[in-house]
Parts: sequence; C-alpha cells; structure tokens
Amino acid sequence: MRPGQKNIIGNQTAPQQADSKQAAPQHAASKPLGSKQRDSDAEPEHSAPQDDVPFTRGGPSKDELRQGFRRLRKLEWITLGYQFGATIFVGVLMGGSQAMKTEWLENMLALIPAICVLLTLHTENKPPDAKRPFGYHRAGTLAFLAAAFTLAAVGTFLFYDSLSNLVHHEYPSIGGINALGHTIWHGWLMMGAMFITGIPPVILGHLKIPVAKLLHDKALYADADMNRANWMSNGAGLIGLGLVAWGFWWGDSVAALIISLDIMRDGWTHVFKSLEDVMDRTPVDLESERQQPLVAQIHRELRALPFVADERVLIREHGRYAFAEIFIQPNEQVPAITQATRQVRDAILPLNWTLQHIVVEFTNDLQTDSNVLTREELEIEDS
Amino acid sequence: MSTRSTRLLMMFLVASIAVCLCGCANLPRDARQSTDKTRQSRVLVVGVSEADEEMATVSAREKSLVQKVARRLGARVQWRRGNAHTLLQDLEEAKLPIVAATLPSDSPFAASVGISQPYVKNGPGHKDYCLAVAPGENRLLLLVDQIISEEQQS
Repeated sequence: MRPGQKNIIGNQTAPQQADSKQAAPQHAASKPLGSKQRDSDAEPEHSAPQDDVPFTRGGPSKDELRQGFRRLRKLEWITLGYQFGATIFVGVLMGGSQAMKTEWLENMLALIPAICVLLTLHTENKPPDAKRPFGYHRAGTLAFLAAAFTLAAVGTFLFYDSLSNLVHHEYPSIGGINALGHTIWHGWLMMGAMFITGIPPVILGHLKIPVAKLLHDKALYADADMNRANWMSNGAGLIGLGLVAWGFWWGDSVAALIISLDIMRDGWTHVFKSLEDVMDRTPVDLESERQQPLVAQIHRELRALPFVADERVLIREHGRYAFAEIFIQPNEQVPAITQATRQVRDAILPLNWTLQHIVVEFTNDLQTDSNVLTREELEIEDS
Repeated sequence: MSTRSTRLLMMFLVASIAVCLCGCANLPRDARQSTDKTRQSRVLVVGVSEADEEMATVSAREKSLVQKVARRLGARVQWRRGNAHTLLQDLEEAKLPIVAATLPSDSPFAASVGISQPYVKNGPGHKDYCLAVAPGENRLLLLVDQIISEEQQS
C-alpha cells in the first residue's frame, strides 16, 4: 500500500461518518483509490467490498474500471497480434510498390503505440520512491512522446521519399506472381492486402474509444484514433494501385504520399499532445480537448464550503490522473486548520476517480501565494 | 460506430470492390503502352548485350524467351546490340521495352527497371538471372513472367 493513498483514504472517511448527515452515501462515494485492504482499514464492519458502488458522484464504479483495464489489456494484445501479422503479410506481398512499402512501415509503426500502452500500464502503477516521490504516472506520457517522435520522423521521411519518386517520375514495376498454378498480376494481391488490412484496425479503434474515455487513457485514445483513420490510408493505397493497373504510374506515388501524410499527421499531432501533458496543462476532455468539467466542479465545491472566502486552484494532468494545488483564503468561520483541510479533501477527492493527489494551503494573500513567479516578478530580469 | 464512419467505410468497401471488378478484363495496362505499340508495329525491339562464353547458355535461353514474347504479341524481334550498361540506361528511360543482358536479380539496376521472375535459378556464378522490362510497363512484365512460368512448368 502506498503511504500517500492510505493517508487520503484513512483520514478522508472517518470524520464523514462522525459528523455528516450524508455520511453513508458520501462515504461510499469517497473511496477513490480503494483496495480490499484499504476497505477493511476504513470500515471494518463491512467485510465484502462494494464493487458496484461508483467511485465518484456519477463516475464509474470500481467494477467498471476493473473491467475497463481488463478490456484495455485485451484490446492492446489483439492489436499487437494483428499488427504483427499484418506487417508480415504486407511485407511478403510488398513487391515494387512504393504505396505497399509505406503501408508496410505504417503497419510496423502501429505496433509502437500498443506497446507503449501496455508498458505504461505496468510502469505507472509502480509505487513512489525517494527518488520519484510523485510516482511514475508520467511514464506513459514519456513513452508516448518518444513513440510520437518516431512516427513523425518516419512519416516525414516517407513523405520525402514518395515526393521524390513523384518528382523523378519513378514508374512502379509490378510483375506477375505464381499462385495456384497461374501467374497473376502481383498488383491484385497487393490490393487484396490493402483491403484486408484496412478493416480490422477500424473496428479495433472504435472498440478502444469508450475504454480510453473510461480510463482517461491518452495513449490508448491516440492509438484508437490512429486505428480509426487507418482505412483512409488503405483506401488511398487501394485506389493508387488501381490507378497503376490502369496505366497511371503516378497513382502509386500519390497513394504513398497520402499514407505518409497520415503517418505524419498522427506523429506530429501526438508529439504536440504529449508536450501539452509535459507542460502541465489543466485536464482536458480526450475528444473535444476542452477543459474537463472537473475544474469547474472543484471551484463549485470549494465555494460551497462555509469557511471559504476566496480560492484558487492550480490543477495539472499527471498521466491519467489529475494533481491539484488548492489555495484558500478563509473567512472568520474557519475551524481548526486540520479540520478545515479534512473538509476540503472530503469535498474535492470524491469528485473524480482520476483526482489522485491534492495539496491544500490556507492563506490570507491568495494572489501572491498561489502565483508562480516570472523572472521579472522575481526581479532577476528587467521587464 | 458513428453513422458518418459507417458510411465512409461502406464507400471504401464499394470503391474497392468496383476497382477489383473493373480489373479483371484488360488490366494491368502499360504506363507507356509498350504492349499495344508492339502489337501495332509488329516489331519488338530488344536490347541484347554480348555475353561471354560462360554466359552463352544463359544468353541463348533468354533470347528464346524473348522470341516467345514477340510471337505472343504477333511481332518479330529486332535486336539492338550494345553494352549492357548503356542498354539498361536506355531501358530506364523507356527508349526500348525489353533488355536481355543476362542480368542477375541482385543487380543494382533491378531497383530502377522492371525485373522479371528468374528464368535461370542459381546459374553460372550461382545467381538468378532475369529479363529487364522498361519501368511501369506492367502488362509487358506480366506477359514475360507468364511465359517464364509456362516454360518452367513444361
């Protein structure tokens, strides 16, 4: 058990039982990081864990999250298996087509996000240690940043390669291949490969989206997004090879160019998204990129507390979790500091299961104390 | 799955099936119509390099193959003799449709021209030997491959 979590759970639940009218429902809703051991720590009178109880008000239940993680693992292992097979399949049928070469690389590159998601699942769960007191939640962001850079770099190279083929008028030569006693045009088999490998990723992508949203998994969402868009590059390849069959040599290079653009788009988009995470952006919705309602909810909950005159919240994403620093300017109704802090934690932590770590500070100079100073404000540089 | 994605996926399916169906008859076509031009002119221009003694059998084999290709197109062969390097450069620029230069399949030229299936596997020098077709002339390349394959089966 992690010392920080024990503290949150243990301290969070006890006073609610004692002094709140809503003790029972709130208590059930305020076990964001529970394990069986923690359940027994907090409420020895209940022997069975209440898995169907939502973590948060309207949030997913523990059971739903557990299933979500199981599903995530399953989908990513299927993706790994599929992409590995597709890479070999397309590699065998590659021949002299630039579009097929690009598609082959795209299939191989699609292994990287799936590997990142699976590795992250293992790494992010490591307990904090003396060297990394905030834990390993950002491992995923780092892995994904590296993967996105690879994708972006390879995409850019393929774009250059395809563009150069187009400019230098490289005519693709695709001959015959012996199959079942006949010599048929290799291009037909390539088109078959493009067609076959175009569909499963789309299905996988659509299956992954709800899991990514449930688990607030950015890497999985990006992976799903790539999978969803896969049919476009396969469609381009199919049409490109079709054009080559009709004698239009440029079809192959143009198709390869479109596929490389797709790889580049995936790569650069995810580079910028991972960088946003590294830059401590406030939590955003995976799909709309708008600020999560959680931020407004925190403000609302804080203002509802009787002793809060004013407040300021600095909140950032740390992998799939949110970390918040809460600054409160109290009024004269403020109770003892430990009691007030406890009330803030009890109000805020149940809001969202991804809210992992909060720090509460009481101050009578909100603006100054919550400010992260620039060099000018520190007077070490002239404005 | 959203309606928009489903519709796009259906379009993708229909387009790919349509392309495949269209392809059955007269495809693939040559990018520079070498096959059609040969049929019309009844002459197949073939670059041929002088082979040394060791390669004489291989060279004879590929010449007979080229004759068969020409016959299939209702044409006669017009040999253009020259240095293998120059001939392959001309082939790359599509100045002639086929070159018979006892070209090994791992030749650096293989990347820039159309390479047929090997008509001799592990011949003198333990290499596979191929005919070279102008780049993008996929109908002609397919025909060459079909003839090589027929020869190997008989």
